[in-house]
This record gives sequence, structure tokens and C-alpha cells, in this order.
Amino acid sequence: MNSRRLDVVTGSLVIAFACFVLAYSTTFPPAKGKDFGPSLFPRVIAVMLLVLGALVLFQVLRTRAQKEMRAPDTAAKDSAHASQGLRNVAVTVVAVVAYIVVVDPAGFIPTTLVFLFVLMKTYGLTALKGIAASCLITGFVYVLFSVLLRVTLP
Amino acid sequence: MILDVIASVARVEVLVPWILGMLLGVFIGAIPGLTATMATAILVPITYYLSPMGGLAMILGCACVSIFAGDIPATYLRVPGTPSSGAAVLDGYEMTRQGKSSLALRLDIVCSSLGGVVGFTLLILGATALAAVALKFSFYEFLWISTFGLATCVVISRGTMVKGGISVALGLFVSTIGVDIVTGYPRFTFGEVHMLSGINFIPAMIGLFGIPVVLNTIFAPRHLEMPSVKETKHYSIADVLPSIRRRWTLVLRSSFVGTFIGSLPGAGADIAAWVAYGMAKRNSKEPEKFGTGHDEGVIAPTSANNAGIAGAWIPALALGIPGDSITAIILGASMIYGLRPGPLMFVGASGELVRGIFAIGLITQFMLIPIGLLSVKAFSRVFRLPNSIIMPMILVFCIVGSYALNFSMFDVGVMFIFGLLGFYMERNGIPLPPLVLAMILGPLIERNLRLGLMQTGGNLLPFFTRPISFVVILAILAFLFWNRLSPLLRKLRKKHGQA
Repeated sequence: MNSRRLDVVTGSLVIAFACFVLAYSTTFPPAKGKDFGPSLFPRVIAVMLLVLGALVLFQVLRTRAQKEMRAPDTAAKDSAHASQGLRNVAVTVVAVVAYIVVVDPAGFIPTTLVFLFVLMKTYGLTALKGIAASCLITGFVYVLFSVLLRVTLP
Repeated sequence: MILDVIASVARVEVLVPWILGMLLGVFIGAIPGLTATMATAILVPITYYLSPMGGLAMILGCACVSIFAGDIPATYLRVPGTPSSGAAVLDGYEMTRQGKSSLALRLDIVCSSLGGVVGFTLLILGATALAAVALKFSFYEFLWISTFGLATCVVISRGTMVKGGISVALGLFVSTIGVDIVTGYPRFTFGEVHMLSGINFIPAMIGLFGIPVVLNTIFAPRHLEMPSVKETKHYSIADVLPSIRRRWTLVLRSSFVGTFIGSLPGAGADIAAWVAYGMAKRNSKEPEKFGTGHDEGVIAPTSANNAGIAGAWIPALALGIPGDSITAIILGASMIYGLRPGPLMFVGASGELVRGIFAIGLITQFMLIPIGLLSVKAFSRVFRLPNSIIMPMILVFCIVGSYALNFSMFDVGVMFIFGLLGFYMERNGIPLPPLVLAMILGPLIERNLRLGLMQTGGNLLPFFTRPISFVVILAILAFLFWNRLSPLLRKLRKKHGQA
């Protein structure tokens, strides 16, 4: 997706969001006494977003089509690398969500060990190095937070 | 008298907790999610077993060092360890990408030390006078100072000002989530109990800065085998001194800005760092280099944020009004030992404590250099590991750091959602720092706006006509539109010169 299309999407999303905020703020109770009510600030922000979203769309219409925006230098060039990159991102997102769901019932140490090992293996580390690194990092984090800083981990 | 003060702090029962506090400060500052406020709160009960001066040394040493230590992950990984390190990310991380991480951090260490020395010197010489100025600030002035902080952040961030404005507006919106400060009405909580207290900006900040780095790195598999930090040349402290000597006016100016902003209650080192960065860029002969790994971009915020800690003590000692949350905790603990803020602060036991605060604060800035060098050496060894190990480690620290704030997985969820938002924003050229700063300043801006309007009965004129407010508004406008104003002013000067 080139930068112009991205800007159109962004501008539209911002305007839609601003409309949602304006509409939702009408459900807040009205102002009482000298106060201006809880809806004042959200409405000011919504108007800001409306104007800014419109400006983004206006800028897109004004400027000529730009060159395809280069993604950050981390963008993979050939399709094999691209699919590997997408797989890495997908596994990471699923792993983080699974971590959030599982850590409370399963406990910090086993969940973190498995989480780290799965990610390191996905990113290309060998199984032996993955196990060693996972154990070291989990142990360090546990000692630092739970023992030294007295943070109660799940 | 100076010898008496030095003698009172150069004792084993003071030095040992002092050094331990500083070492703890390194860990607390360098790990995103752990804040200097949290460290200070944890240390207070421990200090009751120590002598008053020992306890004070431990907490103050920890607080001062943690502000610097937050710059370490900001420089190496683009994840600020503390909110005040957000500005250090802009040029510090770029230097790391160019293989000059040791240059960035050695500049940081020296400038943090110098900034702190200037700040504590101003505190010692002029606490009462500076507090008198801070006392003149009311709702209107605080509103505009906060807006000034946001304006500088928009101007200096990458991307267009329109997109910077969108980032600010999003941050301000997020700050409205939760119970309304005046009426107690829950806004945008959708019945979710966890959202009643609002969205905590620390997990949001961790997610915004940390997750996109991870996602961008793992998206390109060839980067996974590379070390996270690669140095093309090693720089020592001696190598950075010529650069600092050349820029000594910038160090001084940023330290003054940091001290002044830090002295405004509620403002803090975070705003100080951004305002100093913005002013440095505006006054620089090479503004286009900011954000590309420029030394001025490291010098300005790192001098200012350490000076801001000293600034926070100005209203605390002179008026009993703490400048930030860390100072609030230390002030409370010190008052138990006999500290009396105000005109009697130098009398009796209070005087000894105040002189102790001055001495400990000042000497800590010098001790920052060896402590900083040791901690940078330790962390740099870790970050030479390949990205396939560092990226999962960053994720774990982001998760645990977010969890540690309130022992809640909700904060971890917030961290991840903001991380995905940050990934989208970066891909669309929308800068991230204004969103974080807006989340911090949003409640301050709304509170001062509404209280000011309540006081004036809805009349907006006092917001613009009070002298200090008027000056700050002019500064905001000049900042935002300098690029358009400057050629006009040059034309007028030429015309005037010809006439």
C-alpha cells in the first residue's frame, strides 16, 4: 500500500474516531454549577481530530502521487524472506496473547520458559541454545523481580 | 561549614546505603516498567532502619541515578527506561544504529552529571528566589506550560506537524479514559472495572516504543542473526569531552531549562527533557541533523532531565510543595526526621538535613560517572547477543515491567495493544513521543482548563491576558511557526536596514 493510500486510510480512521468520540460524549451528564462537565475536554479533542483528519485528506488530494514509500530497512525483499518475516510476526502475536491468557493459571516460570523457547526457536536459534537462554533469562527475571524487588509474579 | 557537611556524609553508615541505593537505581531505571517513584517507595521503609542521613542518601542516590539509567535502554533498544528518557531515544538510538552507542552513552553520562551539578548548584544558591517565581504560576500558566511541552514535542518529532497533532490528540483522548477528575463520572470505560483508574501511561509507553522495535526486527529474518548492538568504534569519556566543550552553552542552557521546568510542581523531568530538546533544535545551526544521531540531540535532554530532579526540590524545600512524585515521597520521609520546609528550613535538625540533601545530591552527580560507566559496560555485553535472543528478552521485560506496576495482566494487555498501535503509527509516519507526552500532560491540562474556567465563570480572556500566560503563548506560537516567521523577520530587518 503506498503512502497516499495509507494517508487516506489514516485520515478516514481519524475522522471516524472523532465522530465516535463526539457522539459518545453526548451520553455524559450535563454540566452542573460552575463546572463545564466531563464532556468538554473529549469534545475539544474530537474537534481537533476532525480538523487534523480532514487536513490529512486535504494534503493527499493536493499533492501529486508520491513515489512508493520505502518501508523501514527491515522490509524483506524476496518472497521467501517475506513469508518468514510474516510467520515470525504471527507467531509472536499469538505467543504474547497466549502468554497473557495462560500465565495466571500456569504460573510465571513454566509459561515464560515455554514462551522464550518457542520464540527463540521460531527466530532461528538452535534448540540447545534456546533452552539455555530461556532458562537463564527466566531465572534472572525471577530473581530480579520476585526476590530482589519483591514483585509478586503470577 | 562545608567541611562539616562533607564530614556528616563521608561516614560508613551513609556511604554504604548511598552506594547500594545508586546500584539499585541503575537496575530500576534501566528496566522499562520500573520507575524511580516505585524504587523510592520501596526504599522508604528500609531507610527507617538506617540513620537519617544514611536513609536520605540511599533514596536520593537511587532517584538521581535511575533518571540517567533510563537512558541506557532508550539508547540501546529504543525503549525508554523511565518517562524522562523518551527524548533521549530520538538521537541516542540513531547513534546506536550507526554503531556509535558508546559515544551516545558517554555523552549521556557526562551531560547527566553536568546537568545535575548545575541543577543542584542553582538549588543551593537560589531555592527561595526561584520558588517565589514558581508561586506566581496559577491554573492558566500551568495550562500553557503543559501546552508548550506538547508543542515542542510535535515540532521536534519526525513526520508532519499535522500527524504530530494527531498523535497529541490521541494521547489527550487516552488521558480522558477513566473517572473524571471533577465530577467522578466514568468516561469511555464501557463498564470495564480496570479502566476506571484510566490507562496507565507506563505500560502504554513500554508498548509504543518496545513492540514496534521487536516487530520490525523479526519481520526481516536476516536481522535476527545480527547482534542487537554493534559498535563500529569504541569511545571513551576523553573522546566526548571536546564535543561537550564545544557545546558548553547548550549544556548550560539545557540545565537551566531543566531546573526551571523541574521546579514547577507537576511538570517534572519528562517535560524538561522535551522542552530542552526542542529549544536546542530551534537554536541549533544544524537543526536538520536532529533525529539522525546528532550530539546536540543527546546533550540537551540528558542535561535537562537530571537538572530537573534538582529543580523539583526548589518548591519542596522553599514552600513544602514537592516538584514531582519522587520528591513528595522523600519529603514525607524527611519530615519524619525533622525536616521543616519553608523559612525555618536551615534551623536546627532541619538545617542539617537540608545541607545533607544539597551535599548528597551534588556529590551523587560526580559519582554518576563511574557508576554510569560500569552499568553501561555491563549492559553492553548483554546487548551484543544476537537479536534472536534479545528480542524475546525485550518482550519478557515489556510484559513483566508492565505487570509489575499494578500486578495486573490488564496493563500487559494495554502494553501490547499500544504496541500494535505504535507499529501502525510508525508505518504511517505518525510520531510516537507526542502521544506519550500527551497522556502524561492530559490530566494536568484538563484540570487547569476546567478549574480556570470555573474561576472565571467561562470567560477565556484571563487565559490569554495574564502576563506570564501571554509570554508562554507567544513562545508556543513562535515555536510552531518559526520556519514561516523567520524569513518574514529577515525581510523586515532588510527593509528597515535599507530605509
